[in-house]
Amino acid sequence: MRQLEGELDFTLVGAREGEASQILRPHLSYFQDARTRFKANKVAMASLFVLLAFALMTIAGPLLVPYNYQDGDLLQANKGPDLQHWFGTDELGRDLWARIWIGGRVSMAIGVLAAVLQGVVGIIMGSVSGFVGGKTDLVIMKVVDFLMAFPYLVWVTLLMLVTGSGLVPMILALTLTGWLTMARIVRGQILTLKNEDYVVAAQSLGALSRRIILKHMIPNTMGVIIVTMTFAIPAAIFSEAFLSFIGIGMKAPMTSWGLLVSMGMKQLYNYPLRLLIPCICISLTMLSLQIIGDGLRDALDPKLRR
Amino acid sequence: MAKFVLKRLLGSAVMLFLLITISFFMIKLIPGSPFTSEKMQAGSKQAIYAYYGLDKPVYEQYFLYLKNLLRGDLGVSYKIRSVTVNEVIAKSFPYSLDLGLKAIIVAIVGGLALGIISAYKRGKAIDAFTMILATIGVAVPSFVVGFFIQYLFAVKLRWLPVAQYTSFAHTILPTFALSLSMLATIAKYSRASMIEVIYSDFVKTADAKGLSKMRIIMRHQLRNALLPIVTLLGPMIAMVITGTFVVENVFAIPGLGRYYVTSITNLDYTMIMGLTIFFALFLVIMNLLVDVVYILIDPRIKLS
Amino acid sequence: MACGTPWTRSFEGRKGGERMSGAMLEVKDFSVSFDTYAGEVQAVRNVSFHVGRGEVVAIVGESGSGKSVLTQSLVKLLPSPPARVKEGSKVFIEGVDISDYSFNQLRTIKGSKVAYIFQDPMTSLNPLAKIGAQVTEGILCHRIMSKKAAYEYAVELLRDAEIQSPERRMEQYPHELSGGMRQRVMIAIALAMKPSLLIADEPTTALDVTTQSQILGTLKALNTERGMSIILITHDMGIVAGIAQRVIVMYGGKTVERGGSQEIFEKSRHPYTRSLLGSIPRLDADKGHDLDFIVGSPPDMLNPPKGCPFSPRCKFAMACCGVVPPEEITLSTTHASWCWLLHPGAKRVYEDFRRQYPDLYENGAALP
Repeated sequence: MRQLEGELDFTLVGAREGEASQILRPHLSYFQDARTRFKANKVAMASLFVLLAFALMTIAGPLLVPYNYQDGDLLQANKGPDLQHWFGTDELGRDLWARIWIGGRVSMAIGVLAAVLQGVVGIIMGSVSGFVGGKTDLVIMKVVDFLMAFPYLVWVTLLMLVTGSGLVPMILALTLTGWLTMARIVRGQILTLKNEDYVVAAQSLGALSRRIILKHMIPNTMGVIIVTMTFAIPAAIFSEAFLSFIGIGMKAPMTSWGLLVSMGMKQLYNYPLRLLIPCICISLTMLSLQIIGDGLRDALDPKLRR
Repeated sequence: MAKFVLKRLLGSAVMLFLLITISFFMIKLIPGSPFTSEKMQAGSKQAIYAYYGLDKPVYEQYFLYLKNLLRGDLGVSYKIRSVTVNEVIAKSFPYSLDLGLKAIIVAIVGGLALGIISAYKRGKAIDAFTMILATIGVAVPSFVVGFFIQYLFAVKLRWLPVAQYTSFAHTILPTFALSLSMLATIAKYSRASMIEVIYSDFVKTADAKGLSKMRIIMRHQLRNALLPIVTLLGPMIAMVITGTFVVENVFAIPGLGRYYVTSITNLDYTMIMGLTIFFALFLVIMNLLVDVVYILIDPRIKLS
Repeated sequence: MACGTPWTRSFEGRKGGERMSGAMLEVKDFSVSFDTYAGEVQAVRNVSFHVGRGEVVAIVGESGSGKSVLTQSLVKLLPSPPARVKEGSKVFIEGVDISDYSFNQLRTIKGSKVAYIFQDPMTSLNPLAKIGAQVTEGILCHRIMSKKAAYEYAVELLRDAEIQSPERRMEQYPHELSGGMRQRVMIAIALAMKPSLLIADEPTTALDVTTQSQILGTLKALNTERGMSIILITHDMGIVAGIAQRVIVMYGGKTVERGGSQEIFEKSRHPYTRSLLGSIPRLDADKGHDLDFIVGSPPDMLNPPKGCPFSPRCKFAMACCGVVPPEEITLSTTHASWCWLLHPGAKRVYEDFRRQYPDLYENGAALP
């Protein structure tokens, strides 16, 4: 053995970790931890920024120009982008900048509103199904299975044929057909949680059902609900675009991105911008929502928690 | 297995029946009649109504419709003179079938290739490319993709024809537009599945036996990773169907999807009903086939 | 095609584990790191050990100590990004240096000289392949015998591994078998090509106690009857006593003590080993005797502590322990420990250590 006495200090120090490790990690709640993780996701944060920018433009955009989305000045018709009309004008002389952003208001509003309403209906149906169980569960699930067996757009289309076009009928139709995914997911979560060991343990300790629901089930389900709703928004925006595209969605004089696409489509050769601008808006909005949804899902996944 | 198939067929028949009933009565609820836009004298209008059976009470019309259905007769178009729904389907379905098949093949081959290669080359350029493509492919709607590539490749660059479906070159753009979102989904899932398998214990066991690389990849990694992808096929067929509504419109392809859209715009009720039923039937049969195939290839599934 | 290939010749002559000169396995200065996006995780750091012919050596340590990574990296079983065996690591099988062997060269070692049993029988078998196919796969791939002969051989292997009605099992899938039975299939697969060294990585952790003792019994029989060398990896000191001749204790990617079974159990000279032994509940302990547990958590291998890896949790840690890595201090021909307590300069603290952890059977007499 080499003689290293000069370099070695043999004073007793003891275990450093015992007390220290408790203080090292501050107690982060589930949502605080998720928020930190989301913020660290640069791509998701960038998408959030893009989305907010779009939302801001739909509110502020039309106010920046003196033009109205409806009134057209035929003398100004079919102009390309210039200093007066930043996006140009359409064949009726209407300013496209104003139309794009007003249309954006409609599309985004429909997206958010439909997603939220679908979510609420889905949560209710799913919770009832999961909690009550038995025959109620069976019936509700059979209905869900039936509706899910056929493409969603077919149902929405049928409904809209009956209700007619317009903002309110569209939101109604989207809500009535779009709650299925949320219901299934919420029901699944509740069933899993009902059987989880810690719920059974809490029950055996005498905890009341209500307390169990509040303290255990809801926080655990909130994460999935938020993520599902985030993904539902672009789906609703797409449905609106599709319906307007085939002619049973929004109708003039109202405008939406979908309607702008459908009108711009006929002029792809001559005035491609009229088609491409609403397409870009739809794409970027849906893309950023998709990325945010993925980011939220990763941030809220308890398994990845440090 | 036979019992399973029978049970499923029965269940599907019930669902189809419900669908038919619901859509029939919903269509009857639509305000206005298919002939409101036409200018006629009162007498001729009555005659036309009688001809199409629209003067009978709704329930009678319903049972008549069902009776015809069982004979395979989907009715006559209200808008296109002297053309039956069956004829329309026969004429336009081949286009949609061709497009759909091509799109599915491109989606499967492309998606699997990208997914598998990315799994093996994690962190490299191809992996990043796949993930970006996957995100965009899933998020961006098919009509946007359609218009973009139509504008870029057909209008601006003039490399490919703009619309219609007459030569092979015509099929390239629509196939790509239709397949993109499915390709993205398959790529994402197969990559994830492959990564999970590469790091799994049974692959280590196979390696520890001294097997060749080829054998480990083929028999252990690929088979296990790709099996769950089969479950994606069912939903994908539904996606293809709805995708054709859009893509056929963008590229002016005379397929079934385009007819569906125009029949909605024209309020051609029998056409809407007929096409909806046809799509539903097709979907149900395809889903059943996919499920049967899956049961046959996964030994863990028991049919009790 | 089946006969006359180099494989068959050596295969027929071997019973697995017969005497030749030299150690079965020799590992020198072995290090393994994982390259992750967070940085380099040093899972195994400069480990050296050997396994002799017909010896059973236990490698003991908690999860994260590097024991599985070490043994699986010997024949490069870990996917190579992100795992990386570092320069300078040496492995010798029966005297042959295999450290720089390519994948195809390693194929001549894997299965036929060295075989593995993994921890979780649920995931170690391919869920989509029949048992029979999995047992015969190695043999058929190396073209050792015909399909028919391989089938019958496999049935015998399953029977030897104490699986009832082996013919039926051959046609079944893994999910149709219980955990204990799957582990026996793993044993059969491992023995198929008559290896000289069997590496059993926590073979009983996922099983119940009764099955555990059965499997251990099977392993012990393999050693005594066939002279097979075995490395038994475990975190449970309790199962080591009945089966291992030598013990290597690992912590934080390094070896901290090694010795004969008896030496380790009776007179270990390392605080970590002592706490491991102390945390086994004993039937003959006093009622008031607290279970000795270790405070803190396993080290972060991304930033391993300088010096002794156990020092942050060690009751007897001294100022130098966290700074300078202890050297190997030999206590007998077989026994060595890596701990500064054994340095003459640490006399005072060493005496506290000995008082807390006296030896069993010191001077031939049992101690209270």
